[in-house]
Amino acid sequence: MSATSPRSALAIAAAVARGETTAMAEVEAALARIAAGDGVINAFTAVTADRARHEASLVDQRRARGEKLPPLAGVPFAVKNLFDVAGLPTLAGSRLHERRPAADCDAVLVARMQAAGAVLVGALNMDAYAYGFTTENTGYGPARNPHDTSRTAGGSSGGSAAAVAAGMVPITLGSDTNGSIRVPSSLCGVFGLKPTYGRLSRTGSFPFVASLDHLGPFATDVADLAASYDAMQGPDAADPACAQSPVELAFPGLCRDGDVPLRVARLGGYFDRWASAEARAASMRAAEALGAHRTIELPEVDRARAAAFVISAAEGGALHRETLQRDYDGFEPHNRDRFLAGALTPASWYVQAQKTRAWFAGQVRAIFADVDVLVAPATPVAATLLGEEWIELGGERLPLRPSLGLFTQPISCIGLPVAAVPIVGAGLPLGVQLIGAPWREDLCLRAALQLERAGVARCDIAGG
Amino acid sequence: MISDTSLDEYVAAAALLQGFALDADQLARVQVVFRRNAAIAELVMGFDPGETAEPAPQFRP
Repeated sequence: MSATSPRSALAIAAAVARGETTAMAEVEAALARIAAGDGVINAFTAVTADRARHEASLVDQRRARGEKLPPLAGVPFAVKNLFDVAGLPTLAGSRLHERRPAADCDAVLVARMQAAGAVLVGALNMDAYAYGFTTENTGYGPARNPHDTSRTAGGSSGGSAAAVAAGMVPITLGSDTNGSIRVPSSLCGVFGLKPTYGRLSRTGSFPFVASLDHLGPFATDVADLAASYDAMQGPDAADPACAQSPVELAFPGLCRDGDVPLRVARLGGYFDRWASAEARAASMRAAEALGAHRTIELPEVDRARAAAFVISAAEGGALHRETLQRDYDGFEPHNRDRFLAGALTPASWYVQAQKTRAWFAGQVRAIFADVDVLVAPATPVAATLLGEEWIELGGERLPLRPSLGLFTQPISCIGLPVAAVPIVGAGLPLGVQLIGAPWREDLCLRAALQLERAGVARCDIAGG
Repeated sequence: MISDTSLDEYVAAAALLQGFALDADQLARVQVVFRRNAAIAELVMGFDPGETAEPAPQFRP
C-alpha cells in the first residue's frame, strides 16, 4: 500500500522505548498510510488524527521523563466501529446510528489498549450490525480486500482485517459472533484471535447476539496477537458474560522452549465435505506441520451450525425489533429482512437451539481430553468477488454470504478459543482455525507460532 | 415438514403481533427469509439432545 509499510507492533514499541523513533512519528506514518491507501480499501469510517497526535505526545512525554513505557507504547491501532470511542457515535455499521449521541467514554478494550500505550487512530468499516460475512455495507461502501480490490475483505470485521492486510496499522480490534474475526482474517491473510466466550470484556461495544458475541484482535504476527490479547485481559463486572477470573497471560509462555509437544488433530467429515480443494489443502498443510496424525469427525456439526443460526436470528431480531418497526427503510437492505424474520422466531426453536448447543459443547469438550488443538479451515474458499451471490461447494449451489461462515459458526457456537492463521500458498490468502479447549488461548497461540516459525503461516502485507 | 403456505401465514400473523406494519413486498421478502430459517431450524427441532443438555436460557443468579 505504501513505501513505509509498518513494523510489527512489538518492534514499534521496542523502538519507541529505545528512542529510535517516537510515538508521534509512528502515528504520523500510520496516518499517512491510511491517507494514501484508504481511498481504495475503504477500511476506515473515521480517522481520529487529533486524538492520536495528542496520545502520541503523551507517550513521548513519558519517555522524555524517563518513565518505563508500557508494552505497546506508540503502537497505532484501530477498532471496528461497534466499539465505543469517546467523541464518536458508535455506528455499528449503520447510518442510522449517526444520529445517536457520541460515546462519552471508550469501550473497556479500547481503554485497556490505550493503558498499554497503544494509540487509537480510527474506527473501521463493518457489515451493518455485524450481521454478514462480506462487509458489503450499503451506507459506507464495501471494505475491499487489499490483495485484490475487486474482492471482499470478508466480514463482519472486514475493515479490521483489511487495515492490517494493507499495512495501515499493525493491530486492530474486531468482534466475532459467528466468524466475524476468523472469516476476514482468512480472506485478507492476517492473524486473528477469537478468545473463549467470556474472556474479554464487551462493555462499551454494540452487541449483535449477546450469548454468542466475542471481541478480539487482528495482527500481522503471532507475537503481536498475543501481546494485544494480553493487554486486553481482565475481569469486568459490567459485562455479565465476562469471566471474573484472574488474567492468564499468553505472551510470556509463548516462546518458552521445552514445552511438551502439542497433541493436534485435523477436523474431517463436515469440514472436508464443504471445503474447496484449496481450503482442504491449507488445513492439511497446517495439520501436517503441527505433527497431526489423526483426523477427527465432530458429531452433528451441521446441527451445531443450525443452532448458531437460529440463536443469532432470534437474539439479533429481538435486539433490532423496535428499530425495524420505526425505520425499516433506513435499515441496511442487506440484512433488514433477516433481522425482521429473526424477530419472528418461535421460542421453541430458540430453546431447542440452546439445548443443541449445550449438547454439542459437551461432545466437543470430551474430545479435548486427549487433544490440545484441532485444525480446520477458516473459510470454505478464498475471497470472492464483491457482489457475488452464489457459490458451489460440495457439489451444491449455496448462497455465498452465509456460507462463508460454514466452518466458523459451529465453533463459536460453543465459545471455544480460536487462532485464525494465514497459510502460505500460491493464490489468494486462506486461513485455518487452530481451535483449543475453553480458556486455552495459550495453546492456540503456541500452535500458531509453531506454524509461523515453520514458514507455513505468514501475513503478507498487500503490495509490501 | 410444514408447508410454505402455513409458514407464510405464520409470518404474516407474527409480524402483526410483533408490531410490524409491512407492505406486500416487504412481507413477501420476509416470508422468503423465514422459509429458509425454518428449513435450518428443522435441523435442531429434529434433534434429540437428551436429558443431559441443560434447558436454556439458563438463569444464574
